[in-house]
Amino acid sequence: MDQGLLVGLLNSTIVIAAPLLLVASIELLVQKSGMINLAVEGAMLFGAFSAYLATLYSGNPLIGVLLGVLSGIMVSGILAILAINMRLDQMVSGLSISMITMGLTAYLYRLFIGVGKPPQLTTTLGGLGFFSIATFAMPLAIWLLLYRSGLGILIRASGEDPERACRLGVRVSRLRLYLLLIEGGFAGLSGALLSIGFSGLYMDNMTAGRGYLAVVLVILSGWDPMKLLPAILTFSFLDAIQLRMQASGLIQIPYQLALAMPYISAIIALAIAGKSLKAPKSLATHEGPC
Amino acid sequence: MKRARYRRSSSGETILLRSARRIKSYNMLNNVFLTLLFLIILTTIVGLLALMTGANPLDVLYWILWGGFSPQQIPETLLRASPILIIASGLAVPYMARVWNIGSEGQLIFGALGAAWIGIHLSGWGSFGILIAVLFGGLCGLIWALIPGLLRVYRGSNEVLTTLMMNYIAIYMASYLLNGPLKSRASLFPETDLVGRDLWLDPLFPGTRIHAGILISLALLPLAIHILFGRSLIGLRLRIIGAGEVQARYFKLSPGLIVILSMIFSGFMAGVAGSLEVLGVHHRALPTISQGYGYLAIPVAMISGPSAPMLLIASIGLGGVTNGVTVAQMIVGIPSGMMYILQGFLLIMALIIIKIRG
Repeated sequence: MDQGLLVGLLNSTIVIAAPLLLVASIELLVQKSGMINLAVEGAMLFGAFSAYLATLYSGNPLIGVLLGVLSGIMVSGILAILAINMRLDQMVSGLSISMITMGLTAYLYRLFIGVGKPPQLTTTLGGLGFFSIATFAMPLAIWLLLYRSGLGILIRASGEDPERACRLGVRVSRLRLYLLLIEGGFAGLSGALLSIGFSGLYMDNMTAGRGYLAVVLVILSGWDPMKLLPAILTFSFLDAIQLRMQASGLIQIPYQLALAMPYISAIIALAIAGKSLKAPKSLATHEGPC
Repeated sequence: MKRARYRRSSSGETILLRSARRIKSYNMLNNVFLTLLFLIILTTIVGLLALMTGANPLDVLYWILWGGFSPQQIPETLLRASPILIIASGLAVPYMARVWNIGSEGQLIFGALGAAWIGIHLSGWGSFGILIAVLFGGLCGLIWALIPGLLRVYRGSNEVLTTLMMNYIAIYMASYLLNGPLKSRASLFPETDLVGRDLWLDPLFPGTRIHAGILISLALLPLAIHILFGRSLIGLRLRIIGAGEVQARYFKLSPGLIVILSMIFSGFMAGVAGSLEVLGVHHRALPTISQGYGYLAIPVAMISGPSAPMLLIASIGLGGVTNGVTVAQMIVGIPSGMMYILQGFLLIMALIIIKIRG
């Protein structure tokens, strides 16, 4: 293997891993607090879409990033209303929000851009080298926050036993709400990375399940931030190798298999590791009365 | 939220009370009212979406209503209502036990692929071949639902997530099979060969696409579900399991087997719906074999439960809306994507409704 190939592989690993890391580490935090957020897919998609649109019209990628983050927060806010305020089923309401955003972005896309090839942005965020590598520190930061700070204790408490935490004075709902909104922001940012960061293009349903993938990776890491980084890196590296092989035409794997691979491996991993993964005790439940 | 205060008490009486609260029967009048509310909100959303494109909302609504419920469109509406009804009748069973199978879409696709594959090889078998193809399609759907069921019972994995992932796997697998091994040599598109001509479910009335499967499912299925699960011991057991682990233990029920059985029942029904689409409508498997039926059936099953009139009303209503939206998209020229938005909103509405019922 020559050096250029290796550098290319590492480069594309980083490109694949960075958006996932941004979302998955905060998703881990949210799940530790007892929420499971499937609307993150929608937040990413809407972030990608509005970032692209804003950059297209304003010509300034920073405005795009800002709008992407804001729209991610908005999508998360809707989930907060449904799942925290109205106490609906967290997973199904998150899923339906993702469905709505998928439809809405497709609808708005036809309205603003029409059918056919999307215009390539002339001004993107560019290289992003440092920023992408900086995302690799996220799991460590999350670990420090969870296990070495007072706030971390509150978050873990509200995920393990929200009623008792509430009785001891933790505002569980509010904590979950803030975490959700933060995650929305990060998801929007990661969507913006996808559309105006790396490619400068937007396609229909561009995130293609990356948000769900982040949720799955959090579960596969056993809710452990230190295992999250290797999990995401392994996945991204394999994906990069797969993409490279497709491009070079060395080995013909059906591209559909490659697309389905994360889900298949997640199912297999759940089948093998299922019981040994220690979920927060009150994951996907509502805060009880106290 | 006062009722929830009983949660911490562990005496037998409160457990019974809580079970009784959860296991109350479905109230007809309440259901009709909720369905009306449902429809009003639906039309508002559609109107708003139409307003965004600059089309006249009343125009769009008119075409949706015309496309869904005008006499000449009724056959098409029933054609769309039938898979929704079949899937929803299957889903109503695990939903009684609060096992949220989201994977009907994947189960339908997998069932359709299975039925098309065996249908190609069974040409010449006549009506016996139809039976085998439908059952085989159902079996394929069943397998697709068995995996998440086993994972839930033996590995404690959340079924919403696993069935969602199985949907993605099914979609990609269908794309692979229809572009590769199963692709018809005679066709430019990713689709299979036609199934044997004698396996087609032919239209019963000239000029429509109504086949026997649609009539049978509309006439018999809701009733069968109502009798088998609505007012029976099995139904009661499912609801007790749905009420919670404590309740199930109180009545000495072990949820495992029942959860798996209810899951594979819903998977089987989704597979049957897929095979009927293949044999009766398209006569081959296509990537667009399911027009979101698997997702549309979820809110239907959530709000109607195992109640025959509700299943019928909700699925025909939703079939009409689906058909109407397609017609309106063609005539008024509103962009696609509206169907996803409606699916999502319907799911949220269904969640709210079952929350109100408690």
